[in-house]
Amino acid sequence: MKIIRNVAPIIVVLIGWEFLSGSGLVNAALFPPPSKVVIALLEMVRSGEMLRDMRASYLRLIIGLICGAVTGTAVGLLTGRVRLVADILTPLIQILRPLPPVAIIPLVIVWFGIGEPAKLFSIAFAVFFPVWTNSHLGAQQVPQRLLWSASTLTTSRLKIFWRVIFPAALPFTAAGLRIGIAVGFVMVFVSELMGSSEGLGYQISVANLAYRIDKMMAALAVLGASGAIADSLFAAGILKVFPWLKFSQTK
Amino acid sequence: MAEVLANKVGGGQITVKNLSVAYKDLLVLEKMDLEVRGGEFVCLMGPSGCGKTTLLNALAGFIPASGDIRVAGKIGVVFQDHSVFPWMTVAENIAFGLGNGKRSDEDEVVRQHLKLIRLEDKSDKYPAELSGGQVQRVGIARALAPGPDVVLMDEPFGALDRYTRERMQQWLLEVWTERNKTIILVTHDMDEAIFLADRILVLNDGSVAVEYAIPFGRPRIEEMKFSAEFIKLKKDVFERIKQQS
Repeated sequence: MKIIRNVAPIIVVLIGWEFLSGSGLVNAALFPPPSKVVIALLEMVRSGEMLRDMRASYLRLIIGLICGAVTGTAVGLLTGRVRLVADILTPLIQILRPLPPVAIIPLVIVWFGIGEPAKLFSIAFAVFFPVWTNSHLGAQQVPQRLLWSASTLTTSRLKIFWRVIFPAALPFTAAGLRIGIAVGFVMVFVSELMGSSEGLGYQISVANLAYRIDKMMAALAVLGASGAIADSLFAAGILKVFPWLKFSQTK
Repeated sequence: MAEVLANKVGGGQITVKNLSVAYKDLLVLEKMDLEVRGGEFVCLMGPSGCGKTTLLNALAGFIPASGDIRVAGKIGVVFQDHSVFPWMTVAENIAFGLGNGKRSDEDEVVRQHLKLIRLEDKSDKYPAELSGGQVQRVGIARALAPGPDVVLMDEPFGALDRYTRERMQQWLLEVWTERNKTIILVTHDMDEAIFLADRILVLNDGSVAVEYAIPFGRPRIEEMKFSAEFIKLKKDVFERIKQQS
């Protein structure tokens, strides 16, 4: 039943769109029907360009996400728990945080050129902030009694960090990571608009220049679907790795 | 500032001299003296805000305090809530305080404690999958596993229903008899205090207002709660606490 509720609106929109494009009310060249977009998509898959673009974009996304997520989590736990680190880093992060990540791209290109490092840095930079914010807040919320209990059971601060503070903050961190994934998709697209020869973002901008709206829409659909699938995969994957998380979620 | 001097010799004696604890301008404990024998079971009672939990936290070294605290041996703590790690299974919780010995020895300690708390079949369950009484037993097992000499308990059964609480009290007495630990337990429940303790300390305004030595022998059985002597003692303690609050 749930699957019907989920899929039905998508089908309704697609059918409506198909009729609207065919009705002559709008310019079909600017607003190609889904059937033409599917044909464009199949053509792109057959020629191999779609798989090449997907592979390039996913690889950037994964590397950028991992870099941003790992540093965001680690720095967030430290600033959330260690006063000295918080005093040193928090003002700096708070100044950088309100910047739209897209706005730093020209600067990143000046630093790194237009190659791969610039793209990866832009993605990691954008992912860092939502992950940091959540992980920082999560680390601050660890119940004092759990920390006290832990301190009577071990003298290893590393063990307390890794086995108490990290999991205690994980429900927050995971929420930050989900935002990070969404932001990561935005940044993959934006970073590929400049100086790329492959990737979904590149495909969209090239299709635009060639006035191939159907190809553009096909690439957009793949980008959108990838984002949705990545989010569900993450939500399911994190429960596999940390099965206890299901108890911390509100039912 | 007082440092909790926990020596390696063990024995479980506690000596507190001139202990004061202040939160901002408020003096919560004032020049308190306290002696606890090794292996003694002491219950702390008193109206809310009298300093029971503060005393426990000072003994554990969790909060800054002035004066002299000496604890012979290692300390374990059990709280009413947030007592176990929700992200660890029962077995992982118990094993958390181990980790300095060999792996096989550790497994053996975990097995012994699973048996002690009668949760052998729940070792891979998470706390959220257990009942309240079971979770508290895990908390107690985790505190006991590293072999502390002194166990500090802050209302460990306060959140449990009456029936479960009474079974847990009986069980705790068995564990205490077997392991011979010093236990200091904070409670609001007079039946619980009289049933469990060798001695009850009633705190008020940051010091020990009155002390009751419990005259009942051991082992203690549930029926004694209905004896005239038990009820008379309970009435005494009750009136004493009521006067203060």
